[in-house]
Amino acid sequence: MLLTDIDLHEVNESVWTSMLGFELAATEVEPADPTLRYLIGSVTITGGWDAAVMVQIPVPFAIRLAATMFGFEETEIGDAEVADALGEMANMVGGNVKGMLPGDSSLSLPTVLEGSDLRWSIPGGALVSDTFYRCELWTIRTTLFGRTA
Amino acid sequence: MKILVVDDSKAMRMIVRRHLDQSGFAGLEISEAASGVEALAAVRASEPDLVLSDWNMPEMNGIELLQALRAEGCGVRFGFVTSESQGHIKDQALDAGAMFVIVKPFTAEDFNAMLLRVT
Repeated sequence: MLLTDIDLHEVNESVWTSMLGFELAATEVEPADPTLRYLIGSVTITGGWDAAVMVQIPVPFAIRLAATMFGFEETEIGDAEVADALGEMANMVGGNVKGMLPGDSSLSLPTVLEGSDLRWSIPGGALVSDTFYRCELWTIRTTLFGRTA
Repeated sequence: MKILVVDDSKAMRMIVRRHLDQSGFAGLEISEAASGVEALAAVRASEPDLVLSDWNMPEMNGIELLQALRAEGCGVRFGFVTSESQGHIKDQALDAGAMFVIVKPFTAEDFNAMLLRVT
């Protein structure tokens, strides 16, 4: 399988819906809401293929996600739980992408970034896939960048 | 049965713990470790019957934990719960003495099948 053949929809369905019970509806490109702050969880894949996976969600949904993963009320969720939860989501999406690629490669530990109007890229890399979903009131964006080694 | 859950993500430890709690298997005593290093100390101290470990963790990853345990003669039953799904990872895990690899995302059925196998 080539990086361009990766089906992010299948991966997202597996991670968000099968495991956590969130219903996703694929949607067209949705620009970020300038009134919201966003979080990006990301992991990189290195080896036979160089790639990076980014999961972007607005902060209110990140709190909802963390509450679901931890089994807590949303009021009990702090920054550490939010970063932990989104980092783990990026890890699962990235790990599943990595599993579809031929050859040996390594998965990084996740990183999480917060801000408004976030732009994220890999120097020398190319956008492979950019997917958007509606989930409850929010938009989930999952992006795959790649660079052939 | 004493089970040690090892993952640097507390969120994932909570999910694994919930799956174990909801499995219907009686007598599961679950403890947690946030790293391979912490797990190594916990295994020495409490001698669990089963270790469920993540693969990618800072400082000491899951395969290093398993190798360290086997190197000191500890034969505790060991399985991975990891997002690593490549064949060479599974081969490495089984060669090092792991009983199974559960790939994230997982379902309650995955855990029930695992518990049926190890209990």
